[in-house]
Amino acid sequence: MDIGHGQTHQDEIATLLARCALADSEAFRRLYERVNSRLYAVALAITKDPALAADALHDALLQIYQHAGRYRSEIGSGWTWVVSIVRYRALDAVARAGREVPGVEITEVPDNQDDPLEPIATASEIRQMFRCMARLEDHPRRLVKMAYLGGMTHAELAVHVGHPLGSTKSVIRRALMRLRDCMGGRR
Amino acid sequence: MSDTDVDLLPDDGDIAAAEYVIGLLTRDEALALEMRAVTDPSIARSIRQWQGWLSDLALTLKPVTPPPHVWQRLETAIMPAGAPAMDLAPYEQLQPQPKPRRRRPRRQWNVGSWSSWRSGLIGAALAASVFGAYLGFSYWKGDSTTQVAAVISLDGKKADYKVEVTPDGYASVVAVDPNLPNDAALQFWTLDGATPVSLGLLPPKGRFKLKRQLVPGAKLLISKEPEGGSPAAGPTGPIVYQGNLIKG
Repeated sequence: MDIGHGQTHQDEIATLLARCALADSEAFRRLYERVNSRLYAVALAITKDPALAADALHDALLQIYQHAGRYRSEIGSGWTWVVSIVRYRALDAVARAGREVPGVEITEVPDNQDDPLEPIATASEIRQMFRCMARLEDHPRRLVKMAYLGGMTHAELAVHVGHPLGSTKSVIRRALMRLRDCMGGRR
Repeated sequence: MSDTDVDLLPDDGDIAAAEYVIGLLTRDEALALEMRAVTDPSIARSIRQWQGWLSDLALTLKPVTPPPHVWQRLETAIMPAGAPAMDLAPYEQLQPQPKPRRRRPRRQWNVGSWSSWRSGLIGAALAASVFGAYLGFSYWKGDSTTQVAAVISLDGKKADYKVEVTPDGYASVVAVDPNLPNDAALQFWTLDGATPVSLGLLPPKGRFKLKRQLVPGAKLLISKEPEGGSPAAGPTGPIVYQGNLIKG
């Protein structure tokens, strides 16, 4: 079974991380069961290469186990922590493999809000993220995803999509503002 | 093509924070935002908020079951008898290259080739002019690769070095644009209890990876030393910078 998401599950990830910090291998196994397919999807989206993705996932999870004591819940959710490590590891793997432009064809990995086998959100904030992303038009939504999962700067993204830098920045910024407003962000 | 005009950062710091977290900013833009975060705690809060939100983007991907060997390798790795060393291979390539200038007592200089950093050079004028800035966001999260944990300015006007920490707790020192005169070196230290442990000499350029992991709250010191580094087990020159790695 995969991560079910929502605050309860995120708390569970944090709890499992705390147990991993005590070298509890059973907790690690349980953590793996919870997050493996979610994290592999992230690694795969970034690397576009099953072997690289598997290596990145392995390395990231080993780090997570070995450094679980570094996680502190006051900084963010357990999910945010583990996914940030996988994202870093995957981007690092792409860089070391000498790939210049990661993030291509991310839209080929479909959103799963309609996946009946994966009831995504039990937590309101995560549901909200799905709603907010869905409210964006296709192009800006794709840009935001490509940037986050592809590790590209504005300039690289502009080249990749063949649009002027200025308009690419504007599109992304408007999308981020809409996301913030939709998420009920500050200020 | 190269868009390094920091003035292009959006006035809305919250949106700049989002772009920073996503990894959209160039190096100069990211540095500019980091400096803004020093004087504006709301930027640090924004960064955390966006980190949380954007991590949920990963949940928009359809789950994919990884190959079974991933778990098999992990299971083997974490078995007590077969537990691997903590050294993480990918970082080894980032170790500095120069040869040690002199032998040092191993008990104090336990960071191997790190102590062999080629000297950055500095004049006496810098010693009294120090400004340290510590960013108020976590050390383990950040843009696509690393999180800035400290920005070091030797003249109080511009950033000379950044200390970046990768999600696994390993730190790098990045020379931004240091202006280091001749005949002296800046040596980077942390404290193990009350004992100073050298992290190496600040480099004139480039990025150098520390073997030693830095934990949140770790004490950081920079001393002015003779060229080649302190001849003793601890700092011998004036401390020109001190502070703590930011606690999340």
